[in-house]
Amino acid sequence: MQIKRRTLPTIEDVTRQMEAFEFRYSISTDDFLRQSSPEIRVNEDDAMQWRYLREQLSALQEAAVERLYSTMPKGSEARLRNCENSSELLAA
Amino acid sequence: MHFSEYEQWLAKQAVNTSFEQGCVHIGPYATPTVVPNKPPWDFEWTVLFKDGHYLRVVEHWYRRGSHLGGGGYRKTFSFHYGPANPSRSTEGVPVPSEAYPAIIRIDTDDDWRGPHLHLDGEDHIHQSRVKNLRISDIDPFDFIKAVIEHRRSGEKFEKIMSFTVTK
Repeated sequence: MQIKRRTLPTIEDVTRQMEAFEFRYSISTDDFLRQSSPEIRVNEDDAMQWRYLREQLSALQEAAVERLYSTMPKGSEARLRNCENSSELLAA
Repeated sequence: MHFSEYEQWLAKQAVNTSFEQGCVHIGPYATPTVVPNKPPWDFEWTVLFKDGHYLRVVEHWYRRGSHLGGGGYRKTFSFHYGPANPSRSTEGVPVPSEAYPAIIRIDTDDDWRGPHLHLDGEDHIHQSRVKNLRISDIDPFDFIKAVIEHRRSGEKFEKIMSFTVTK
């Protein structure tokens, strides 16, 4: 049996899938996170998949930022990496 | 573990796994998120049997910090075997439904439940009640081989996988 590979996801794909879950259950991202309480009944497969999508989104966003840094002159990159919040980023 | 090592391991295991005639396979898929082969990654394989049962194994491998060597670690998984809901996803995977409870399902999610089993109609059997089987360490091919053996022999999963569930 050959191991196959799906198309690599994009930020848009992952965001769309997360929104679809939230729409289906009519709950917000925060509530999805809180489904770790027994009162909120989210199917176990869906909860696991949603958490994985969140991990994918974070990895894709980090990769996008790294790609952006790689296009910058060294000085600008270092200045941006040292920013701790969005105000500092805008100022830089 | 790194994705390329994992992929090689999967390929080796898959070659040694043979199913009965007439099964429909969706997968096996192993897909990283970021090129080149970076975590997180997932593994999914659904096998539909001719008698209306199915097995589905899913693993999610998350990023491990570079100070811990990078790569990924298996954070969550679910291994399911039982009757298939005729209602299917766009890909053909049976939609999970309480109307079609698992004969066996082994889960580890990152939530309040912790590692647990669903077995013969009983839900959420926690590790503390399961002897001789460390739920969080089960690999998908041990599970797949147990399903194949169960279908061949009709033996209960407790016997095939050598575990017991206490009351």
